[in-house]
Amino acid sequence: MIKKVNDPIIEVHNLTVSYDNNPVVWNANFSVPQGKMVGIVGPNGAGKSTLLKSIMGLIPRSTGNIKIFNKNINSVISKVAYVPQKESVDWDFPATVFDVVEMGRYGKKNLFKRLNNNDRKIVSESLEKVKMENYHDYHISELSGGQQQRVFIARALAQESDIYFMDEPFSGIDIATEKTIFQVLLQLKKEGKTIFVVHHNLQSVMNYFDWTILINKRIIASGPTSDVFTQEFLRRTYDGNLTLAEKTEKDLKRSNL
Amino acid sequence: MSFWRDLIYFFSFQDANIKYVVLGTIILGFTCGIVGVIVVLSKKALIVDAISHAVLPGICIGFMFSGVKNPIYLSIGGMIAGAAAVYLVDWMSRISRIKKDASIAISLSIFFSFGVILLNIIQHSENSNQSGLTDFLFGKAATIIKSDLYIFSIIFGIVILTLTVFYQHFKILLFDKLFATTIGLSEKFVQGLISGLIIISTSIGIQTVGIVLMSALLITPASSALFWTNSFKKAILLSGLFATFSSVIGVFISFLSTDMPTGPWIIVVLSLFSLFSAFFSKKGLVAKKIKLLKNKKKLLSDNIIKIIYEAEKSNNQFKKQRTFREIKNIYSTSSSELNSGIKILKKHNYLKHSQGLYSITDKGIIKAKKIILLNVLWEFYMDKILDVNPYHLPNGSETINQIITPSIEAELIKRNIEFKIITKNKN
Repeated sequence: MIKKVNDPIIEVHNLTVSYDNNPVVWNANFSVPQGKMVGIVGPNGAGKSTLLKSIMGLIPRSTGNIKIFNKNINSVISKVAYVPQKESVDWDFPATVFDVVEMGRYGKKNLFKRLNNNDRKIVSESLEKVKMENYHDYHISELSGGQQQRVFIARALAQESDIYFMDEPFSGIDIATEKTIFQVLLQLKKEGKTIFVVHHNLQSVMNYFDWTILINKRIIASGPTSDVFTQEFLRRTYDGNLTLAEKTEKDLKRSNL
Repeated sequence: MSFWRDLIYFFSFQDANIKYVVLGTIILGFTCGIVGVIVVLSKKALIVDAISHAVLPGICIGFMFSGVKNPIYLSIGGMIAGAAAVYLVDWMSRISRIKKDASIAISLSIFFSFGVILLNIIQHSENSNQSGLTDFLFGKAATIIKSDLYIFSIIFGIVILTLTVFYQHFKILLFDKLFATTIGLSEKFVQGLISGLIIISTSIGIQTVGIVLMSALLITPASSALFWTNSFKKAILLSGLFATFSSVIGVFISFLSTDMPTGPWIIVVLSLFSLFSAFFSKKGLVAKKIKLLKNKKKLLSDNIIKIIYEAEKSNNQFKKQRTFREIKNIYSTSSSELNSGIKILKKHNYLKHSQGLYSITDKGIIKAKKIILLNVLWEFYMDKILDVNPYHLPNGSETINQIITPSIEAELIKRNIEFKIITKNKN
């Protein structure tokens, strides 16, 4: 079930991403309205992160057309913030917590310009929002996993974007941190921002997200969580369709031969 | 006395030649030092070796073109060859299954052997200007002349300008590539800039330290500097200063005795810096070891006083005088460890010692209560707030002090935890 949206903030048409002929995301079509907290849910290897990265243009897509605010991603890149999984960072780099969050301001500005007091004020406020205001001068490697995650959320906040893409922000952190981060995301939603969260904990989906996209290589369902998060769709996402996806993969390979 | 005379003669710049050599070395050292930080953080340490070795054939061809040791021809030749080496490394690892480190090694040996052959051809030619070309192998700062300074200054200017203008680009890309891409920063462009910086600084740097030791001049000051600071800007500055200082010292040593090569001395001085930083900086081995020992001692003394207090509490008999052996019966550990623990407790006045007998003081009782309170708070914090079973976590009051900051402690106490502690202790 893919719910059609009248005035979408993001539209994805016929998106296919493949690594060496293996489709990781297969013919995805969906759209999402503004101001939603969207969960992207599916089993391991279902292409959740790949979906986000291909929307951001971080990995090339085989086919597909993506519209954000009815425009190409490159022309609205300053309105989109992305929080990657923590592995993409060089932890030995000489940078304090404040330095890292400051980097978020450059998404908004020209990279050649220097930051002014207003920028630094926004950086401080962002750190306060994730309750990291007492850690300005810490080196990023001195923090615990949950604190590091909060710093990267603060960097995204400092970007003051309209759309947030977060790749598993809740993985490997304790419950207290998860609650803090969730409160921050709720606040963003209240401000009318749209947030996409790659998520793997099925228990919290109902509480966290008002819109859910179920994915297992192809989009199983996309719509309001209450409509989508049903036994039937979950069964198709987590087992039934696993074999179907594999069959499709095989067919595709065969047709290439 | 001759050492002091030499020292004064060297640094007073009476000799114009020495002035040019020292000025040239300062510019070179600083340039290579600041570029070095970018090299280390972009993990291009290996490729520097490939580039510096590739510069040799470039210099030889430059010499063959001009017929004299014209610094402009030599530098341009070196830069072109350096760029060719970077391209070769990229191309090889792109089109074939050869891994990057292997393609670096291949490219290095191809260019270097070609360079050595050219050097041989030049040496056997009739050209009398060729003397000194072999100095590029190990470096000889004494050959720096006035006209070299112009080239050095231009390259220094280019490096400073590039670093200032593209400072944010470097910082963001080197820290988090993926994030850099999401804000529209071109990785290819910045990587190109980095290669460019390495090539131009290498083409002048080999004059003082030589081809073989060039990578050390870039990498050693930077890795020393990174021990001292958490700021990218300061690391760059510090690395520049380390390299400058070592270069001047190295040049001075080779001035003292004419047969001494410059390059190796510069690197020896730099290595001393690096060694010192690795041991004695804020993030160095000694600081780490001291912190570890301090923590261990604190934990030990905390545990001893806590256990003595708990024993007295269960017998309802406070400030009892005990022999060393009696304490050892309560807190079983080796005598030497117990001794060092007791020493700390005595120093803080938590334990009193008279005529071979130990007894806990009022201050000691307060301390023990505080430790117990922190332990209970820690368990409560883990259990109720973080929602993890405290018994699944490694025990240790070092983590307690880290997590239960004074503000959290106040907050927990405000939430009427004291009541729980009292009930818990009564049970």
